[in-house]
Amino acid sequence: MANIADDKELLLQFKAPATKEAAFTQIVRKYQEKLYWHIRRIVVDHDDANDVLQNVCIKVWKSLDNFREDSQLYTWLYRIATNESLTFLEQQKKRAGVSFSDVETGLSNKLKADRYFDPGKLEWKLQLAIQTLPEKQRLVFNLRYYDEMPYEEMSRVLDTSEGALKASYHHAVKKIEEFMLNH
Amino acid sequence: MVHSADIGMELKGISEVVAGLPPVTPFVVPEGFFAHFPEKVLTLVRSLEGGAEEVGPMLSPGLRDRITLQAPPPGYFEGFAENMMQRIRAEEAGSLAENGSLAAAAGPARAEAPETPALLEDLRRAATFQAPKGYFEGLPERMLARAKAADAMTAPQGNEAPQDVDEELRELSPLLASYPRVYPGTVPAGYFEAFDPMRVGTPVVVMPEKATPETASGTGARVLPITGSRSSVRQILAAAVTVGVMLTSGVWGYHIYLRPSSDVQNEINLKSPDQLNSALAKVSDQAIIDYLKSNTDVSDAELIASEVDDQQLQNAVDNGKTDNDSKASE
Repeated sequence: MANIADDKELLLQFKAPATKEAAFTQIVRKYQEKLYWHIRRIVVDHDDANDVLQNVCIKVWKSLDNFREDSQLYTWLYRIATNESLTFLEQQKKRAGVSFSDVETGLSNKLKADRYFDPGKLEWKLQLAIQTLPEKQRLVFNLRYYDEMPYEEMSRVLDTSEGALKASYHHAVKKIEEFMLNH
Repeated sequence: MVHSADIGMELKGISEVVAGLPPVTPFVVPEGFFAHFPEKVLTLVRSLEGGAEEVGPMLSPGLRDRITLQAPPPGYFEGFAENMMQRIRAEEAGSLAENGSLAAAAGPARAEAPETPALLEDLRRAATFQAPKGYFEGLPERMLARAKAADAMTAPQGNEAPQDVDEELRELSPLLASYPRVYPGTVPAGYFEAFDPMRVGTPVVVMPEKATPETASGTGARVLPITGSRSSVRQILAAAVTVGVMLTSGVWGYHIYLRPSSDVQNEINLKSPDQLNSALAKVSDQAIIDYLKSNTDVSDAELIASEVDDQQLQNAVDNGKTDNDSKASE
């Protein structure tokens, strides 16, 4: 996964005022795509993903000085991205005054509204199946299936025990299988 | 994209179907989106930290649109900085004034030390926060209603009494609930039609009816209010009488049956008719005659007469005549 040695070097550079901006640019360049896709799979829409990614970067800029190096930078960034994405969905829910199930329906509708949406293609059908999952299972499935994140790291990102994550992933896969077979 | 061996094996173990799906995200990113993203973010960060760079052009279309939609009214930014500074000063002054009041509470020496300027005094009097209009009207009632609602929500389901009697009975005893809930006793024909409350020991009190729409039209049932205080007085009286009777019976029973034998050694024991007869046998005839002379009346004479048969009465009359005749001849 992430090159830890490089991250440590970047963090050192970030702490020096002269190299702070250059280090920040490198960190963003290094993780931007991983973070973007992680966010995009949660919020679905590109513009929303862009807004959330920018918020994540601003938070990273403000908080990186206080980052404790007992955890990996990669894990820390995913944690911020996950929290920001969920906060974004929560705000959408409050703004619209709808329940979370309505938000999930809204996410499915966003999928269907995508310019490239093709219900005949398996990858799109899989996306529809993922949107039927509960929030936690959706997160776990995406992190494991697409990002291939080890459970140990995932437990730090989602603050959940590895056993619970394995169970969530198992349930998620079974539900997706059922959806794929019946739709 | 292909899954790594570990993830693929794990997935296959859970679901062959899902393992066979292409692990591809079908979403598309606008071309060149990532090319200058770090620089854009850096510009954004600088602007947030007080840099002079214009933020708008580098924002995503979605974010720009939102900013346009949420644009403040014209003139909003005129004097904005001054207004903000005034508010900040006012807030700081408020907290200073609060510290001053805390110092006053701590002791007179500390309270006298800081001289509060007149401006701060005015600010302290001014209400910093305002409640919505009418917020406090009916607030206790609203709070009570919310507390009750919260109680109802948190009350254990098991302790909740069912609204319906049949439902409750079904929960307690399905067998009993299956029986028809009808009282088998009957009332004599026309009992209620001929029922006269005045013939009952405690007449039913009928309060004057209020002219409600139902009673005025004659369609509604008449309501007979129950006067709680009167019935409770009656209950107390009945209880007092009952207790009195029980106490009297107890004392009497004690004297007759339970009193130690040493106390009644010299008294007449009336436990059985034989004992009564033997006790009476000890009384002299003269004493009985004297007693009857001073204590009998007409009803006693009738009682005695009813106890004596006709033959005995005739003999007594004949004997009386004979006695009288002999006295007359003498």
